[in-house]
Amino acid sequence: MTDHALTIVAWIAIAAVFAGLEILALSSRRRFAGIGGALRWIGGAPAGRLVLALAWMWLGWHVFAR
Amino acid sequence: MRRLSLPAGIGIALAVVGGFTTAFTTGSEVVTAMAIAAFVAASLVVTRRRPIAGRAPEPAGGERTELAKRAPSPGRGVLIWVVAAGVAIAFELSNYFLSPRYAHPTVSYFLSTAAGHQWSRGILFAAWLTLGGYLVGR
Repeated sequence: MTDHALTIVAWIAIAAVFAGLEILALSSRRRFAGIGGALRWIGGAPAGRLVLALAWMWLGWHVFAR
Repeated sequence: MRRLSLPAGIGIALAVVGGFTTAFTTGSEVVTAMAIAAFVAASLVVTRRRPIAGRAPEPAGGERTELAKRAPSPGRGVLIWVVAAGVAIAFELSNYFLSPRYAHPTVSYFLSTAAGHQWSRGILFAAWLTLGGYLVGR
């Protein structure tokens, strides 16, 4: 297996973990925070909101502009 | 209804125009900058309308509100998300610094591939705007 294929498999595994965590959160009836709950928790503080806003701006600029 | 329709209309227009742009051009920079400016403006408006930041205080008598009962406990599961995000970021950075770039694709590789067509670029732009709207509306 090439490095390229190996890296893509690793990315798929990471995506699967994220999806699994979200499914776990949905099936736990809010006892376990999903991605939305985690974002709400991070954004609960002004510094967290700033980090999320900057991350969103960077993502857009990186993908669509540069 | 008007509050929802105006941002949605602006978002759809930006997504359509953004779909027709190409990265590393003035057009793409202008459209992306307009979206970011709209995000900042909406954040300022929302912040002014909701001056009370952070979590609501516990009501007198120690009874928790219905919203507080339904919300996940602070930190429950959040740590796992932070660890998962940390692993993903570390992997992204390791790929970024390894060469050749083709052998170690980063998230940008997938996103650039996904945004290779005008329609898919427009959809990605709309998804990015939707995420921004979610962050503003929290």
